[in-house]
Amino acid sequence: MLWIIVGAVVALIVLFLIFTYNRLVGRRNQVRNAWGQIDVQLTRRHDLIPNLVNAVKGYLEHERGVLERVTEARAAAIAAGGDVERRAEAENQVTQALRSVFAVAEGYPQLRASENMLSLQEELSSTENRIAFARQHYNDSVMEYNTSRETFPAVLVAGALGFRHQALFQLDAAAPERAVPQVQF
Amino acid sequence: MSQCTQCGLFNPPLGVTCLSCGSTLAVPAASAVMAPLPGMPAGGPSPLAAPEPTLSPGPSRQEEYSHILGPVDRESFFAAQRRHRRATWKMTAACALAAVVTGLPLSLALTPIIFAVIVILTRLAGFVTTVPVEVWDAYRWAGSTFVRVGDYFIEEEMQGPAPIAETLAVAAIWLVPGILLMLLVWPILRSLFRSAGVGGVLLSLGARDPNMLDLEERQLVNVVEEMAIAAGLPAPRVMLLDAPVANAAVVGSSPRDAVIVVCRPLLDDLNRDETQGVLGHLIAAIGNGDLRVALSVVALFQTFGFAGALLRAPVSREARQTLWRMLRYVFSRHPPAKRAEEAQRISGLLTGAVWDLGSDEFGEGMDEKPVEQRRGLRVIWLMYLPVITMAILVVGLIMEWPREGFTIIFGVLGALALATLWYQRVYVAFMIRYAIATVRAVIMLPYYFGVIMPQLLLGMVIPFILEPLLGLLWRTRRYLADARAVQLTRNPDGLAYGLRGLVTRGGGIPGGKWATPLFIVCPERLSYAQIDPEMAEEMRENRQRFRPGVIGDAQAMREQARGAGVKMVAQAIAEGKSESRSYTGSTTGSLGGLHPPLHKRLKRLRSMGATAPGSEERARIDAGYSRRFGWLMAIVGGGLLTLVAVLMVVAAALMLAMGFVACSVMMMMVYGLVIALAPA
Repeated sequence: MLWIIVGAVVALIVLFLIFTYNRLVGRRNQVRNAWGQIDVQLTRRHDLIPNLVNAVKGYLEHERGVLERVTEARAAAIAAGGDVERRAEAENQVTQALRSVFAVAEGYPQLRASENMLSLQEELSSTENRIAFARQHYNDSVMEYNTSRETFPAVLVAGALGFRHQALFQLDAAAPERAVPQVQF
Repeated sequence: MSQCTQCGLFNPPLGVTCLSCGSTLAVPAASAVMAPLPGMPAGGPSPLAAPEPTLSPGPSRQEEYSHILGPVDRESFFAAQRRHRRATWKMTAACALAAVVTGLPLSLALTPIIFAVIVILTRLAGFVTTVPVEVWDAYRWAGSTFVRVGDYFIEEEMQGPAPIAETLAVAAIWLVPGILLMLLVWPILRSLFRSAGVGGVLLSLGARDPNMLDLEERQLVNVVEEMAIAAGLPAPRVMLLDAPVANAAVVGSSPRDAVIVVCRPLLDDLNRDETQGVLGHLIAAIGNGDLRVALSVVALFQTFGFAGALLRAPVSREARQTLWRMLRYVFSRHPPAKRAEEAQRISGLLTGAVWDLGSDEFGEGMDEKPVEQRRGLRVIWLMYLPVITMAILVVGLIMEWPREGFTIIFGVLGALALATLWYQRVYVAFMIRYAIATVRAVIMLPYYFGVIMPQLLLGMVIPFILEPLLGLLWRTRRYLADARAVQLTRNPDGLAYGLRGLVTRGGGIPGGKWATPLFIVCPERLSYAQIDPEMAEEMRENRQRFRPGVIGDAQAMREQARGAGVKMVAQAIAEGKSESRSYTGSTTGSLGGLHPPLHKRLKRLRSMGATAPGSEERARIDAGYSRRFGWLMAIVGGGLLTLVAVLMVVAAALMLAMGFVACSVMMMMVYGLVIALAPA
């Protein structure tokens, strides 16, 4: 009788370990996949930039500086490679540069009406969305992973099984997105 | 925060009159918030922050919020998802239970047939190899136990101790084979029709790939891909349907082969944020596994239909045709679109067979119109033939006629009889058919009852128990997908305005009723015309737009639909009538429908931060009714409902009892078969 009880307890513990381990592995892989997805979308943006530059080059003869800034930012972002901090900084530069291109393009009615420009604008804004959604998905996955890692029964074994805390993807505090808009009356 | 134009006081957001001077507050138009943001990520994902309620767009009419006493109860989309997911689990369990209960009477009737087949096969096997005696002994044991238990309950009127073990054994013998068969058929049917997917025939209505040169369609593809990224799913394929109504659906059987079908007018009617919300719902549905659920439910009904068709095959030509068609489908090698059509048609036949008893051959020939006899020689005189013969024999023997005399007289009589039969051959043929039908009906009677009873019972259980539960489950899953869509887009207003826009545009379902569950909205049962003047105006305008003359291709759609073998509601849609009820064929629908009403969806979205105005009026009227007539409704309605429920339970019990008796007669016949076939 005693042995049956002991056996049952051991079996329960083993089952718990198996389930916990598998669940955590699933969530961790989801986190990794989500991280990869951000990279995919950033690359997509890099691929779109030459098209954009070509499409607007003819119209923006006098705004060479804006276009150069985009090209430089893109080159810097590609050069940054896997260095997360520098990469994030460079990508923020790309975002800024792209915004200024579209802001400048607003002043050119012909360009604004051009079919090519419209579809490029859609592609780029969609890419911005994708980057944002990829980050969001990454952060959601991380939250799910961290929660399941740190909640009660799992927290006892998660560390021992080698599941580390994952950091959220946060915008740099100095990034322009985080700047508080100044309202003046 | 709205500033009073009269006294300049800043009022709290939901007020409609100024707190200081009482004058009506000017409020910004609700649509102002919905201006699309060019080049900006919609909803600006900031993942962990709960959505901040936007306060600016207030009520557009004075009464709009007057019944809301306090702020809306807030709920984060994570909490909402957890809540709806828990509800989903409970309802799934309830549905599973209801499905089992529904399947029991069917298995009662199926089991004798399975046993009969097994017994006959065993006998046939006996010709080829030697069947161990124990097998026949087991059959005999099962049969005799059945009889003993039956005797105990029927004839001896339950004297002596109840044979519990034996009763359990009989219950197992009686129920398990049928249940096993259905449990086996269910996944087979599921995978069989999987290739067609749920609603695959929608694609055969003329769905096309998006045109990437069209900016709107390109944007649609982008939005779908964005949402797929947000959900961490592979991007589903997008197809467009040139239907006259705005709606969107997801079809397929799993996240891998899901296809999003969007009716083209949706792109014209909704802006990017709204489209994003709507597609977020569909992608969320894919991620939550709604396609799998839909497939399982359809397969469940197909299983019941299959069991019904199997039962009725001996007495119904239609059932035999359905089974034959299914067999042909299994081995057919058609292109996917054609296969999907065929699958849809067979599925319709099967699900229709669940309780549609159709025409059967029971009594066929008996209800035939009697054929008139022709003038002249009537068959009736043949009745006197034996008497006449006897009379002639007696007279002839007494009068000592010669042998030739008898021969001549009987020859003439015989020739006359044959001539009569030939002359009245049509009538005679009728009589023979009638006699055969009568004999067959008498022989088939227990079988017929055994088959009909479970099906009648199903006809009661399915629409009143199983379908409402499934509807409830599906509606909860809609709420779940709505909450998930808010998590994906972080923009509850996008979905709220999207849903509102689609519903006010009629929310017609292209492709027939069966596709209803797959679509994001369905025609509202209640006419908003009486309730919400603003929405009514919108609906009227849209109705003008959807005149058949304006659309032009409604006819084409009808043709296509007919080609696809689908009962089409295109006519209704084209003429601007929304359907009054929202159910699809026999698989779904009934009490409450499959889609939550708009005002309930909007209410939940508002609690997640949406500001879309909507059908508060509807809710207010509901509340008013329940205040004024609530007690009356409760007494009268409750009493009536209880009465109906009691009557139905009694009827169901009676049917179950009759079916029980009929099925046990079938079991006895199988036992007779065992005794007849068993080697000595």
